[in-house]
Amino acid sequence: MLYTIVPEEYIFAVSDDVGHFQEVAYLGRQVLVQPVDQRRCQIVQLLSNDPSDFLVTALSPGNIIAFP
Amino acid sequence: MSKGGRNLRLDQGAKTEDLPSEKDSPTSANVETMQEFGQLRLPSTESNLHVMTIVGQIEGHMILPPQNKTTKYEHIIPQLVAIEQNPKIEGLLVVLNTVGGDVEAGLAIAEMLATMSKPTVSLVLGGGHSIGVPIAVGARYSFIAETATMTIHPIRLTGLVIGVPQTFEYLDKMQERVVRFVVNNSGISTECFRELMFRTGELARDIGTVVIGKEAVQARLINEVGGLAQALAKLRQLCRGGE
Repeated sequence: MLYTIVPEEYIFAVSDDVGHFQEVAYLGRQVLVQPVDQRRCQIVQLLSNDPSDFLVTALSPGNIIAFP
Repeated sequence: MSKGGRNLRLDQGAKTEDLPSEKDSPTSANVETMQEFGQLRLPSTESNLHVMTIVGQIEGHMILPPQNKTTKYEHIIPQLVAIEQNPKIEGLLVVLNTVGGDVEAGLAIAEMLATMSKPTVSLVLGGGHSIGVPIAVGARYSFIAETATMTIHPIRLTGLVIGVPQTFEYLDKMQERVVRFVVNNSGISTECFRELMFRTGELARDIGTVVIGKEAVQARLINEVGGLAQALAKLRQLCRGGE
């Protein structure tokens, strides 16, 4: 049961312009990545609740990394 | 693309299972950073306060379509358990900018927050709507930014609805869980919260109310209007044993 201000038709709208994200471990942290090609992927989001992790440039969104 | 993506996912799954200990070691992390970016890792300044951001939709039993930005129940709950158990972590700041979401998942997160032994402070930025309201009040002390909003409205029933009185009773029971939690964990009275929830003429597409910044404090839903500095100062004060 959803309790939200967003109308149902927006939540369940069909859209094909959506990336395939996956969660991987990188530098000991969980990151959400989007594959660029077979070997590399781009960081989309850092999944951490330690604020200092967000200061690490290697973990910042947009970085292209080798698939760990 | 989708086929390639699927293959990658399988490969990757096998690799991470093999190498969890190596990934966690700081030495390998340093070497990796140097190889990848030609830079050293920042000296780690471990924070004794943790930050949890709850953004977008709160996702529970149902996986929402990928165009929704979601905060997943299964990410949040283990983190809360880890924060409660980790002796190095003294307090938790919950930053909310959510449009609502799954009732069960939202209430579960709110209950976990409310029953933590470590000090918790919530900060509503942008919006803390619908099921975001119980999460905001679940923390020991709550702040709302001056421009932040909270929408309080009745729960809707979607999908197949059977036109029997039991349908209404069921819906009322689900709503009662939210009302009771909010009333028990904030200064607002049941009457006042219900009045905000069922007020007509204020929302264009729904019944209910939007409270902005200090209105939430006047309704005694949120403790104080403030921003990052106030929220962190309060959290540090609670960590030192103050009230």
